[in-house]
Amino acid sequence: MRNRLEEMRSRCGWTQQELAERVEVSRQTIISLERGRYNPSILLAFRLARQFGTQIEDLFLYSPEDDRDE
Amino acid sequence: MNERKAWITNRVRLGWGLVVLGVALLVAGGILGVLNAGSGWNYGVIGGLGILAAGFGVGQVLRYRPALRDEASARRVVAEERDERTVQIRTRAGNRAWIVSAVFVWIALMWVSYASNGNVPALAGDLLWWYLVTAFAVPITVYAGSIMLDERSS
Repeated sequence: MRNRLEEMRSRCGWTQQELAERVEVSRQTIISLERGRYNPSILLAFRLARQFGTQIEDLFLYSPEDDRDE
Repeated sequence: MNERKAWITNRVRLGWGLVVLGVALLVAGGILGVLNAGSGWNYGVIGGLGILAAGFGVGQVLRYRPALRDEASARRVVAEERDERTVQIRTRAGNRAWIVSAVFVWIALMWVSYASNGNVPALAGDLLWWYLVTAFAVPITVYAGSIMLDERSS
């Protein structure tokens, strides 16, 4: 699933480590999320969206093709 | 004490508990060995279990105790341990290793059944030892390999 995590993180001026600490995951998880290799749980998606003061739909961009990648 | 530090403290306590249990088993194995020297039993197996428990306990203490020094370390360690992606990767690896392990048990069950009819050699002596070594080592290899592969691909 595509997402705007890297873009929003850069806009906030946070490092991957800083974002990881804010949402209490490992830095590797942030890297995997930004590369689109890992889809977060709904709870983590909410935590991330809350950090950026946005909605999940603005952060994670779902398209029907994503179902085929699962 | 916050929830993170309490979680780490429990891990450290568990580690020390295992160290104490391990040392107790080691001592008990030694004492039983001396008291029953002529019994034909080797109580080293109890001491061996003690070394395993103590080693695991020391590992726990070394891993978690430094994280109690400051809040940043505590936060980082808890985040690493509870990280959902890490948990998912470990769970997947555990499932794969369990399946492989179950296959080895099933093969042993079939083997012993056939051996009782004389269709295959009995699973005993060196053959049994090598079979158990393989049945122990292969699932662990599958577990570690699965984690390495999933760490790279997800």
